[in-house]
Amino acid sequence: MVIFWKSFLFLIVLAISPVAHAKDTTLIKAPDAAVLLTIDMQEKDCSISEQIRLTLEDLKELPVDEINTTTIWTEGTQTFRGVRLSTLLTMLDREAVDLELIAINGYRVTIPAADITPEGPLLAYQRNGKAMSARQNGPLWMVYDYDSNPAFRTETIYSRSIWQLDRITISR
Amino acid sequence: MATGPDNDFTLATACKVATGPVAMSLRKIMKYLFRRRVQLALYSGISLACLVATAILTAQVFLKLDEYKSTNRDNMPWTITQLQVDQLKLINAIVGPDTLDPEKLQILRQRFDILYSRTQTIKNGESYKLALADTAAGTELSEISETLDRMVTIIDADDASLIRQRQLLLDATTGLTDPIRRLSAAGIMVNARLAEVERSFITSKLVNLSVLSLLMLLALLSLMILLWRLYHLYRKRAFQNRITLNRLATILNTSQDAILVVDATGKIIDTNGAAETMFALLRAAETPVSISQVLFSRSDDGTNRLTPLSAQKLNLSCANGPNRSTNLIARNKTGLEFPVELSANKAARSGDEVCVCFIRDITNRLKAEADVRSARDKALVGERAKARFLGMISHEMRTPLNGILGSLDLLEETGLREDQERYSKIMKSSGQLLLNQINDALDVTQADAGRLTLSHSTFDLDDLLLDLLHSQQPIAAAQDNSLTLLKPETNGELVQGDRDRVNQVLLNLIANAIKFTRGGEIAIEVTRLGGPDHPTDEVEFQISDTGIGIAESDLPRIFDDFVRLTDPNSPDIEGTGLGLGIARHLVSLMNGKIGAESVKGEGSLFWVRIPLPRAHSDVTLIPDLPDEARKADRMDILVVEDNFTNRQVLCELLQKDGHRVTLAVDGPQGVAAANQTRFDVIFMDINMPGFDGIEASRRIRNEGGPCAGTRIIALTAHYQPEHDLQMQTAGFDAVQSKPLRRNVLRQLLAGDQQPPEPPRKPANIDWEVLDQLTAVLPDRKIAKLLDGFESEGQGLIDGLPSLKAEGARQFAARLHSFAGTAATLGAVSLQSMLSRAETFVIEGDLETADQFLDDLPKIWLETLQEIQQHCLAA
Repeated sequence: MVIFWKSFLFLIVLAISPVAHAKDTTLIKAPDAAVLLTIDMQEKDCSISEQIRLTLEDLKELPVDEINTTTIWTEGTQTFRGVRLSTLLTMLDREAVDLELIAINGYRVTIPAADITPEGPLLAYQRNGKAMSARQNGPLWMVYDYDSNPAFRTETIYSRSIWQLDRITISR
Repeated sequence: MATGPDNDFTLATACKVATGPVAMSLRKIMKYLFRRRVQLALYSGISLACLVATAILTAQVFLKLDEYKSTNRDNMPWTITQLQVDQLKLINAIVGPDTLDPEKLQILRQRFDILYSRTQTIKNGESYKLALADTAAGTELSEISETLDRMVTIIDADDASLIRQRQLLLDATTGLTDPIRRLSAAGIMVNARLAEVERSFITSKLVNLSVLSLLMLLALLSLMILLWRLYHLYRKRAFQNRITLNRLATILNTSQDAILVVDATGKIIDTNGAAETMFALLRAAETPVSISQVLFSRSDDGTNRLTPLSAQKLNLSCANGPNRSTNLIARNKTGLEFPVELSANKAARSGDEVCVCFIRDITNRLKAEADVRSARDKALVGERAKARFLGMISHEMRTPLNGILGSLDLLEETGLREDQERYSKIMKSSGQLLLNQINDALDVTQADAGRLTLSHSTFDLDDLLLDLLHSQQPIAAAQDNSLTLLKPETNGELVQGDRDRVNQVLLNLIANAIKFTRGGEIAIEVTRLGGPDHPTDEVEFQISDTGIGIAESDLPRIFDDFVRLTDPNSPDIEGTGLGLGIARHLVSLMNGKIGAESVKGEGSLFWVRIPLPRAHSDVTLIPDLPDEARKADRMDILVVEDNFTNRQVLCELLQKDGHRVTLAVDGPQGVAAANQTRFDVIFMDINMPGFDGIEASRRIRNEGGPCAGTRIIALTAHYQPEHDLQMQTAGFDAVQSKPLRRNVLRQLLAGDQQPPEPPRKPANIDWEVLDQLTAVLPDRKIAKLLDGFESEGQGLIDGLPSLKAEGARQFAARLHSFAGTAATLGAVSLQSMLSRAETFVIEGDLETADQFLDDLPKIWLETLQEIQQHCLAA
């Protein structure tokens, strides 16, 4: 409970910090290398109303979860550590319809907010106890617990398992 | 269908050729059943196999589908294509900037990292490894990976070094183009192969599934058709069953008999409509009724106590098949009791046995039976009244006839002119005819009432036959017939039997033959059956004629009473039609047989067989005495007779023979006369005003007057056997029916012989014999004789049981010896009885002999007493 409140207050602070508006279209604007994930809040008229930037430390502040599973892209069982996307959304406390996830390599995929369940995607920042570099599909890899449920072993889920993730657009 | 009607036909035809029709039909049915069963089994088997196969296939498909739900394959072609894009993007990043813009370098490094990571993913990802195994892709991947690894040092170096080695980097990246293309081609190939394998697997599974489903569908369809046919068959059978059941139910419910189905405990579990009505039961809504509540058996001990019919008794009664019992009483719910008849039998009903009872209310039947019985009794009473009336009428007719015939006898004595004598004879024969007919009518009445009696005596059969011949020859001659007698040469054959009845039978037959013959021949043939070597008791008489004969259809009824065959050719035959009927009655009374054979127009043959056993020659026959000899014994005679004519005729007849006659008109007068004077003979009429002849005789005997020992002869117009006992106790010596004829009268007066008609109790002792003996022999010899008689008789009687054991010869000899002694002393009843017993002993018929000997002690005592009294009186 204490952790929850702490995180909540942190997010509120985040939200009110001054940010550049999304009129600026360049992907990587700030040389601020510490920012791992940028979250854009897109209104119905496609305008970006808000931008949230999260560093690795920010993400680590959030409730941690871990998944032990094999994947079709790796060899052997992997231990992924990160934060549940559902947790993140709850923290943000924003009304969401769709989430567009975009990777460094230009890959993008849209997930309906309804599909993001607590057992669903994990925003992993560690694999096998180590932070992931871009060469190791890092720094953020959205994975599912594929072994736990055949429903997570479908093409759709595989397509949503985006690696080298660096930006999420939440549309209302 | 594989086994259609065509198959049936060929099978049936084959059977027909092979065997007979019965066996054929049997075999056909068997085959039919057999085939149907095989069909069922076959189709069921096929269906089942198909079902299993389909289930397996379906399971496989489902597993496959389940597999399809998840996959372990990534979109490989896209990834590999993306590899190409990543490579091009890296080339662009290397070629693009000429400056040392760190931001651009950053992008270059990022592009490298992206290419690197994707290559690593393809190289190490399990799904890629699996898909690309055994292809050329492995070497391409290694080549790409090695090149990238070499590039890493350049990328990871500082910015200046990176810029410096930019050309090297470009060359290396460009060199990746060919391996990436080859990898891409391999990936596409792999994908296509995989897709093909997948498709063919799915296709084959679907084809198999379809074929199996089709097969199963066919089998199910066959099964359905088969079941449909069976359904129709069974529906038809069920329908027939229902019809039968309905019919049975209708029969049972229409039955007027109550039907109860009773279980082993006696509970009524089913009934029909009649039972509900009869016992006032309600089918439902009642506690079960037990059989012992409705049926009771009446006890046989006459108390009419009702015992409930127990279930055990009911079951026991029909344990061995259907049982029927009457003498049961049913009681219905309202308490009404009625007699019933019960038919019960066991029936198996779904495992346990039940008893099915048919119960019929026999109230009406019993009532009808009672009605019939009472009607019959009434009819019998009427019949008896008629018979009595006929008897009375005959009495009324015989009395005047008595007068007429008696007067004619007297008239003949008065010296008539020739023509007068002729008229007299006509009158006499007409009177005789009338008398005969009255007698016939009486005989029939008595035969019907079972009152005909026989009077046994010993007589000369030849004598009888000659008499018949001589008396009937003139009558036969009057119709131009010849009458001849054919008989074996015997000299006076003595037989035992009823002479008059035999005479009557033969006379009837001969008269009949004469009546229906004109100018023909009539023959009487007599033979003792068994031939001369083994003579039997039976004598056969055959009376044949050459008359008109009898139609075959009429033969069976000619011996019936009152039967007269009407023949248009001979309308002049007269008669009552009683002759043959009487003959039949008499013959059967004598244990004989009678019959007839005839050919219409050619003549008839009547035969009679009568048991007439030969008599012993030492039996004394009393010969007919000549008229003059009879006349010599003059007697004092009392005639007690209320009828004037009869009295006068009798008086005249007796006086003509020289007797002295005293007349009395009723019982009291007769008794008074008898008490005054001693008479030799008293003629006593039975039916008289005042007190009758029986009473009068009793008084004469008991009052001890001079006539107490006189012979009393009873006269009666209609003899009835029930009078017999009365007459014996009244002390009559003889009973004679009216009218009295001169010859009969003379015989009666001549001695103690049996009167010719009707039977009387024979006197125990022939006093004449004894008197003759006493007249000839001295007293002491008589005494000795009597002593010997007494001791021999007593000895025989006492020793009877042991004698019987000694054997037939010995026994017969003793009987014969004693019979001789009895004959010497004139003990006729004794002698007759002993002779008969002897005859039967010789023949081996000890039972009949015993019957005769049963009375021996009684008669022996009587005889002894009478002799003693007689001697004392003398």
